[in-house]
Amino acid sequence: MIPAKFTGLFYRLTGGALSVFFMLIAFTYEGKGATPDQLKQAIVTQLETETMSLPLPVRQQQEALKAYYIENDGAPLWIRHKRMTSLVEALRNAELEGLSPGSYPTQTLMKASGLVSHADASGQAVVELYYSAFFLRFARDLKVGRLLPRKVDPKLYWQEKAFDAGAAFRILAGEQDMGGFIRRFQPQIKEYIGLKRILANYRQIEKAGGWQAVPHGDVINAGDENASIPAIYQRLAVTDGELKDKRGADSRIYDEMLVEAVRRFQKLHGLEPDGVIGKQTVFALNISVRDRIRQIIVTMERWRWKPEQLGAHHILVNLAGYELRRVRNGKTEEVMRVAVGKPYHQSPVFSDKIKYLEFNPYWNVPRSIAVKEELPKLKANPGARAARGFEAVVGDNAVPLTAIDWGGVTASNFKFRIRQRPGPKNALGRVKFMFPNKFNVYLHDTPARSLFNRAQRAFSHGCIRLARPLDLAEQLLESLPGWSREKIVGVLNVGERKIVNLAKPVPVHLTYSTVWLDEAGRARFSSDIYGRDARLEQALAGRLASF
Amino acid sequence: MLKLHFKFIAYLIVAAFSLLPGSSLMAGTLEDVRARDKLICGVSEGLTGFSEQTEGQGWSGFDVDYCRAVAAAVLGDADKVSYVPLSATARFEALKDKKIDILARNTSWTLKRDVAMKFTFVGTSYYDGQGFMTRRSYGISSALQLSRASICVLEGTTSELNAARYFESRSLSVQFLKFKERGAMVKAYNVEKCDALSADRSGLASDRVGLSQPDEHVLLPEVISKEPLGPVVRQEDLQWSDLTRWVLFLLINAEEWKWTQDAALEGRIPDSLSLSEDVTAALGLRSDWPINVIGAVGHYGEIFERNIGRDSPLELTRGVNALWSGGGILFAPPMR
Repeated sequence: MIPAKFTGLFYRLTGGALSVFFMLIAFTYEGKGATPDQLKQAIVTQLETETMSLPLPVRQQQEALKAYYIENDGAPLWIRHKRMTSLVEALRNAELEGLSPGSYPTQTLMKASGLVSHADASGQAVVELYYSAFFLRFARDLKVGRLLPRKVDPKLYWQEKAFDAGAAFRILAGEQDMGGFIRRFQPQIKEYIGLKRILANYRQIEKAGGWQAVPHGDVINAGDENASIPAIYQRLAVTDGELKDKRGADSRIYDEMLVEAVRRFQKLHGLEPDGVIGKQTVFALNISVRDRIRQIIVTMERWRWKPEQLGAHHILVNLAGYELRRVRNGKTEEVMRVAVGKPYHQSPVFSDKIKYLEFNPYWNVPRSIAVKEELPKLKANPGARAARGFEAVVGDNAVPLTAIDWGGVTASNFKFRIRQRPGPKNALGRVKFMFPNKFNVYLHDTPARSLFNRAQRAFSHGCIRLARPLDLAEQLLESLPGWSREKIVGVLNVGERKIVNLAKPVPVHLTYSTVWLDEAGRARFSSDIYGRDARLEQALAGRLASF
Repeated sequence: MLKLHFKFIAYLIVAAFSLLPGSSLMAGTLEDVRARDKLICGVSEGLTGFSEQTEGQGWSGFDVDYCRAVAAAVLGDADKVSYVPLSATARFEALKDKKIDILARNTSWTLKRDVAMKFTFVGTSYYDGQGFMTRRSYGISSALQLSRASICVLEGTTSELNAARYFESRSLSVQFLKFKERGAMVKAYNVEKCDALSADRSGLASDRVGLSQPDEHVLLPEVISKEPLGPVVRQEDLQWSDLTRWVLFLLINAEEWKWTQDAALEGRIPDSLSLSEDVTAALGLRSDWPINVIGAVGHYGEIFERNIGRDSPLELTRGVNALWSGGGILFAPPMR
């Protein structure tokens, strides 16, 4: 007699009354096997009739499981198929995908497959669903990111990405094992795949012992003799393929070859590539391989939140790397320095589309900035602000700043809009690239050009400042007839506000990646300027970071 | 009107008792304990790791060791304790009625108990909080992954309310299965009547030991309420509450000084401990009380690990119950 309810299945699996259970199997079913049809029927029956008695992981995915199995008449994916061991294997190796093997109960999964008799269709049905439940959990983790941090820290997420369980099942059904599934189902984003390779490299380095910390000491310039040089050579040789076996390991002279290696290191770590070994360079050298791995893991997690179709022609802004890339058909056509929001004015992470450009823009000062930063200046010297092109707007009329008595104006009775007229001093510079969004964030030019020479560029109030805005304008307007560089310069010379709509909006993706790949596929690291890596790492562990 | 009447009578009774010789205002618990040459300690009826009675070996546990420490301080012998097992409902009456000298039974320090019920909490010996236990096979690492779970709770406790509020505020739907008795609740969980258990985490760790396969169950990291557990004495006996409080502080300080049971048994005394005669006299104790206490039970860390920590089946980690200097919140004033 087949037990109708399987409430106790996992009680038995986990040992509750194991011996009794075995006796039962031996006594009742020995020699008989459930037919494929019996199994299919049992799977459908479980999903249709059982509710609270199914194991929690199955109940948590019940709708998705029901949708798939009922559509496929209960055809099993795991039972008596090699996918079964393959799933356990894949979960055990989840760290290859930047996931955590500890989040999946591989032990129980293995036991489950062995404990249920071939004859016990109902028990096998529960095992089948249990496997599918964890398959779905893994597939979701892989495709759209883990669920836990969303519950822990919802503020980490700006845009939701839906998970398509049906698609996961369909792809799995077409594959013989999880390897094929992972290749087809993982985020099909070049950067993600690249990071996965980098992760494997760094794991290899970790296995081989990582690297030793370099002692802090005096600044070392090219040509200096210093006791730390052998240690620095050793450290660089671990990650710099070009340096290996070309030099005596115990020389204390900071020679040209090592200077070049230090420059390469600095370039890949967001430092001034001056070849001088100072405090910051030693600090970056000493970040452990374990910490680098953690950085890669959280960055991969973030890529899972991104739409997979970034767009044939798109713009990618990496806030943590202060860099903009314009990519067409998988090829990077433009790399440009950008400046981003200060830690207290963090630029948000989201995806949108650039719809139009505005030349000679007004800068409409956001109220928060007007009250906090402009008002004290207006009280002190309205004439100076007027000379920089600022004016007040009351209703529909522009009013000169000097015509207003600022003495009695406070944050609470501040009823003006402040804006800055187009011109050489305008905070937005000569052009802005608009993708209207609730964050009021856009890309723009800036009169403060010198800031782009610095390696660390978190200066703005949240908007993205471009190092070469006119180049980007030219590239985006390319497809519009008549929009040459000359025409752009002509518009700028006229000095009047002009809006130009793009023929086809261009997707723009703001990301926060403290590790990303350069054109040669090498890992570039930058510091966690907004502390978001730390926060995500906490959330992945189920903890809310307090800041 | 009727209520007032009762109150008045109650007041009269209390007033009358307080005039009798040997009443609370007169006698010190310390004198009683000395005269009897035995400490009477109220403990729980059996909570693995905290207080349990094993055949042939008598009482042992985290709470029991505190009783032993007090006996060592007062009587110079940790074995001079008689234990009175008490249920949750009987414990306060027993203390009030002087059936016990001290209550050392996983009792939460609350305003009502401290003030309205006229007890004094000696301090916090274990910072507990409500948590969750679930099956390892679910592959869950946080209570936030318990959506759709059925959760066993004790009826009428704050646990049920706390848990309901916790899940509601996080928009997770769960259902509760309520039980009147702890044993029945644990049994129901053991046979998969529910997916998870919710109660004080120390209690859950204790319950886990009794399940058919303890290793197949995990305590989730979330702590959703504050339950500071500690010994309780009667409010009016200031000398006794001071004494018992400083016994607890000694246990905590001894860990900070790394003053182990072995060191105490070898007669070594830490430099940080410098009590003058008049201070020990004011406590009503002999000057060798600290070495007697630590020699008998060891310092806080040793008591913890032995009964409920790594060296015990409960395997609780120190967590917030680590010393303040070790990242926890356990802090005792200096002994000087």
